Amino acid sequence: MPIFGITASSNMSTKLTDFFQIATTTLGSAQSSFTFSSIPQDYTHLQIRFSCQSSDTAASGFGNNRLNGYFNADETATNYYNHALVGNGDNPVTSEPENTAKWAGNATRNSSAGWGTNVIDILDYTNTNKFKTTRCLTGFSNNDNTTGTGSARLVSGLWKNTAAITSIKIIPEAAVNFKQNSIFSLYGVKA
Amino acid sequence: MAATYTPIASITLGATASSVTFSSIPSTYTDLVLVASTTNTSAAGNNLMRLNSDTGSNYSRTRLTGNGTSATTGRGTSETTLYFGDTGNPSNFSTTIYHLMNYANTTTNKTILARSGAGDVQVHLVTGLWRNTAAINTILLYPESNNYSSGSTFNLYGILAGS
Repeated sequence: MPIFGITASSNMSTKLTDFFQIATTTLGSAQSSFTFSSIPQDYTHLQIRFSCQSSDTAASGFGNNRLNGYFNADETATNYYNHALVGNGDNPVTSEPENTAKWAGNATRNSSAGWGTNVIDILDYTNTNKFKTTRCLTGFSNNDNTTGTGSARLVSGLWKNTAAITSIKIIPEAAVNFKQNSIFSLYGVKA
Repeated sequence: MAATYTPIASITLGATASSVTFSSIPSTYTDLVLVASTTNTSAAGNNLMRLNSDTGSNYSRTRLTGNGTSATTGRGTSETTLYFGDTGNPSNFSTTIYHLMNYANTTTNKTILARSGAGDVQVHLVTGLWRNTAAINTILLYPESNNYSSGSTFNLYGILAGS
């Protein structure tokens, strides 16, 4: 059978015009959290795309690598909800209904081979008539057969507030830092 | 703000094919997104991926799968290819969206996040790791068995980060 190939360097000329760059940061040194602030109100939805490692040195347990997300400096965890469907490679799939802000994906632990990879959609972020919802695809693989060293996780989040979102803070659940070279990008999507 | 999500290359199969390759991928974006809509010529099976023609045991993955009856999870380590979701049964297209994050940096190993669904088979979320710090310049996709059917489509996009 033929093998189809294509040279991708011949850049196609058309850009999809509804997906816009807003901001990106690659960490030059470790820091305890990351914040997008002064988010423009010109879009319908937001998407955060980021890859990160943490300085967490816990021996095992993917839970240590979860990330909290806070909007508009509201760090009262009980103002948030999240539900997650999780596969860690060998344990039964876990459902994680929680009255917390752990909707913001995963990092990997210190010295991991892999990076926590996250694509998060934040819907109708400027709408002042509804609570805010998020959808997160997240996970990591570390080429390690130890329990808890990999994760594939679907997370839905809720912030019980009708305010337009102007800032997003992402912070590891454990009191650890994001490591150097973690990269965070924010995009706006127009309807 | 500048628009991004730029089409880089597109393939529509006019005949069955044992693989498709995107080569000479420019390093000018932050992330790549590959959208594949595929069927298999015989029976649904895994979509496999290799990067930069690396056939070494440098790949690993963790998956979450639901088939309508139960949810399962699994992983693979030191494999010679990445395993992502389903190719789709003949006539029943499967869609897989691959996110190749931070693909052009030369400091970190590469992670791929893929969401795959075959309506008559199962749904997957898979995270894959390629233990190599090289920039990704070639993506090979191939079915674990048989061939991709004619009409299967593969679209590669580049997403550029803001300043």
